[in-house]
Amino acid sequence: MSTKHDCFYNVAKEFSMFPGGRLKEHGPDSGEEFRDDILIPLFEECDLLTIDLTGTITYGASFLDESFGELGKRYGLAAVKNKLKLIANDDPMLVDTIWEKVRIASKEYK
Amino acid sequence: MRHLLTKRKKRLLREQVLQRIREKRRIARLDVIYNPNKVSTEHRPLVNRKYSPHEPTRGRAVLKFPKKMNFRGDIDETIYFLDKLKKEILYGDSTEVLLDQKALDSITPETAIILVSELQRCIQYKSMKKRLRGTHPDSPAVARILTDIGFYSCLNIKSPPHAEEKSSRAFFRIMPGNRTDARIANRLVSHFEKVVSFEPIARKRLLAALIECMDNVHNHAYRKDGISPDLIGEWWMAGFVDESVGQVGFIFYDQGVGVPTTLKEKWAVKIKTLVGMNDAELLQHAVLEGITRRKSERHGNGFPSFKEFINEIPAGTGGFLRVISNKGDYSYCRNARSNPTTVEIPLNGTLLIWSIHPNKETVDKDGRIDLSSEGLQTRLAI
Repeated sequence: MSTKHDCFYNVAKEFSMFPGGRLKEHGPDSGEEFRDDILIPLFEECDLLTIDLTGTITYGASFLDESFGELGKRYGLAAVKNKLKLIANDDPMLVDTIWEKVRIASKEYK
Repeated sequence: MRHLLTKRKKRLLREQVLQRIREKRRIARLDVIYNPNKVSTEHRPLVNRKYSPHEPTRGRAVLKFPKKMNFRGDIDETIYFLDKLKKEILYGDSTEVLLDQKALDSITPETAIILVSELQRCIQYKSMKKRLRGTHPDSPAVARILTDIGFYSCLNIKSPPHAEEKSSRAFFRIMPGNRTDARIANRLVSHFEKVVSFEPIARKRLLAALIECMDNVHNHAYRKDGISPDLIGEWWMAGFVDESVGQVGFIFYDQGVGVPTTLKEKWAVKIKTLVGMNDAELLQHAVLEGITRRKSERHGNGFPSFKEFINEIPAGTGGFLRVISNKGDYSYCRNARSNPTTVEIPLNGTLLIWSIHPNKETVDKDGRIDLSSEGLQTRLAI
């Protein structure tokens, strides 16, 4: 039986202060890297995943789509909404932007 | 009679040789010989190995710079000259090209960036037999701009000794690159924060736009399978601040195929262009609503994010985003009617300019964007 629990992850402290572009081949700290190394393993491991997005310099649209958008595509909007909680104290629009990306990408969920 | 002719011929030949020696000495004195093997940038651009250079045969070509180089009133002449420069260096038959900057008496930073990038490309791809030489401009102000913007350091040439020493402006040197790295964008913006403060959200939007620009270059800008002389994935980023009025401008440029060309790969877009949508309107559509050549809705969101910085600047602050690519020229301002215009000669690549002016509105009485109110366009064109 796998052990399930609530998780908290701070992007600025644990991943990077400088999130980059879409793919690993484009440069450091990409959305693909964040998705494959952090987001998906945590999403599968945890009952409730809280991601704190506060403290980075910014997030590019491609980074968000490749990381959170892909989550929506793989698991569907309902599953992501059930498990994922987002915090962004320094950018109130960011959480809505991410959910919009998850919603659009979840249309490709099969 | 024959003896006299030979004597005259000899004298003419001697004069020609002496003239050539004098010219060589003059250029050596100026110390402005372009060295193709010393491009002193921090990174090494990716070269297209499939390209084979055109071998020159003989002769010397003199490329006289126009009097004014800018993307306002002289946009067509400027693009024409930049195109001519590339063609002469890469495909011309002359073994030596002299870049005569003497007449140049005004140049805007965005033009200087494109000029630098074009020369970098030419140096990388020209035949080994071709030599590039240059003269310094007569105008100290132009010399100063080119020095500040990193024109000479990028090409590893000594800056002119007569460049103006004092200036209220604080330029930042060109930052070339070929990968998406938020640290570079952050370094550029931080540099300007020494004199101009940004609202935290506006800062985030600006950085997001710059990162998205870098990523777009990777995704769409260059044809990776072509044989054209491209510095693959290469982009140039720069900015300026005028401390006296707190004016800030950021510039991003790539030498790719251009946004309209990329978008036309999609059939739906191609059909729209066939029924009358021009390059400028395509750019407008891309900036306002987002458009992509791909099927997925998830793509095409980068361009709309470029205008977010302009939307976030405080009320009372003037500012606009300008995009020039292929034959399209589109400017976006929060409170103004958009004005897509067509340029005669297409610009190869994509140029983006964000310009903000804290003490001046950039909308004229007719509700149109007043480009002349921006420092990027006028104050630097001395």
